[in-house]
Amino acid sequence: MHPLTKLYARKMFRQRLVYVFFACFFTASFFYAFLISTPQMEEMLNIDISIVGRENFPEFMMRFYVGTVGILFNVFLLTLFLCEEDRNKILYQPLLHGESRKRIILSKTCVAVSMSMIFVLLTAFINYTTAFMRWGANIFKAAAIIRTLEKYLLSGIYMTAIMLFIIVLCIYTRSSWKTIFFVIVYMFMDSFIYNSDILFLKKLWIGYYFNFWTFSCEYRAVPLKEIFGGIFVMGLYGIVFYQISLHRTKKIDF
Amino acid sequence: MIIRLLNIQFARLKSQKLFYFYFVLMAAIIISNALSCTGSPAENGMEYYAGGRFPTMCLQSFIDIIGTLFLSFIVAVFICGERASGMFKQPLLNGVSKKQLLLAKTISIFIIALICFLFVIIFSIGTGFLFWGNHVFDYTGEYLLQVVLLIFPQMTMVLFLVLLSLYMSNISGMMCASLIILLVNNLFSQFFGRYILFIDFMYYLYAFSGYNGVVLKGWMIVWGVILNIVTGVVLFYGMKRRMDNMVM
Repeated sequence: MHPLTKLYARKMFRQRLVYVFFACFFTASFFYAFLISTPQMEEMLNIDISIVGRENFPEFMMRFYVGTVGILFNVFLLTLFLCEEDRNKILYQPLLHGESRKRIILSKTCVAVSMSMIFVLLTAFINYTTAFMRWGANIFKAAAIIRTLEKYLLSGIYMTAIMLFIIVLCIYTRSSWKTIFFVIVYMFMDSFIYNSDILFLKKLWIGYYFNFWTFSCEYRAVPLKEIFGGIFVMGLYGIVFYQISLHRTKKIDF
Repeated sequence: MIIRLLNIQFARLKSQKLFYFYFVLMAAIIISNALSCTGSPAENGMEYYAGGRFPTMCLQSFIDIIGTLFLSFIVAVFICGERASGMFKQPLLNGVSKKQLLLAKTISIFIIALICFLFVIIFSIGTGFLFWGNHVFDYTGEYLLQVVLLIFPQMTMVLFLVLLSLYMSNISGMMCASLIILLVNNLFSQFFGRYILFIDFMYYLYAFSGYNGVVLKGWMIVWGVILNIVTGVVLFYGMKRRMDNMVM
């Protein structure tokens, strides 16, 4: 690993907010696992424990992280990591030590992308742990585990593409609040496009496949066609976002 | 002096595109709520809100996360952002005391919160009138009571966010902290509502708007109002203390 990447990774994992967030997530998952089984809670939360419990619980809890909460959490961390550093004039400090602009962005991107994937897998681990604590070995059903882990990995790919999008926003806007603002706009657009009837637009939209995997294929396997279609579109978006961020970094005026 | 500081704050606010975006966003959410109530309300489970209770539904959408997150955003931009860029010091150099500055900031954020809240109320009634005519006034008493009661937790929320922003050094940190607090609070309200209603002022954001489906009793209303006032006083004292000790 390049020393700069190592430095950025250390910086990111030194953020106390990351640990606070996942401690809260564990608490939430624990409460959901242990407290949703009562009839009052089932009625209040409008769920059926026979469907969302046991082997389906990790999939049920996935939506609490991937999507709105996860994207917001990641954008807050990334703006801290990019925009705030830029404002404090430390983002481009490695240039003084002979590093190239491309190297800086590559290192930042590597950390951001691995961070998003690690966070998704961490939520999978937390959800499986709490589900195991609640239902024991009953949660281990081969078909369900494969299906759930597949969805977590697909969500990780989606979050990775979104991270690249956030990096582009950070580099272009160079301001925390503007980046957060545009990400919120993106989330509304995403929900609007997913609920619209324009099939052509939907198929080309980065968030469509994630919504399809999570909501339309809830508690059932995702068709292979949709998996590959989604990975292809997200990969394409990812490459474009990465190229844009590199292009912009080369032109940026300090 | 405070009036002058307030004028500066509002001049800044007017130039914030974010503020206008909020209105567009809320208008879109309210119209989309109305459309989901008119399409096939029984299928969507919206028949309860179609007509007279439509403004309540919009209020709940506002209370859920958007309103609070937006408020936190405004506080972050106005306090953390200014502090990080050193603009907090500027009024102090012109003879303004820390206390006056804090008061002006808090009052301006109160007014912003009130404008945002009023916008939701007026726009939802207007939209409801367009869709359901006079039926939108069927539950006016119930709705107005909710509006009046919600002013208390909203005001306490502003004080809480201002205090939080005084401890956070940048916009991202502030937003992240408020997101975590909101989620934890939502979680506790869902699972331990019957216990935390005695200590948590934020619980009343959900209880007074009917978001958590709890039937409000007389003693809960009185306790909610008292709790919010007491918490508000404690938070204000905390803000004052923090401002006195803070290195700008």
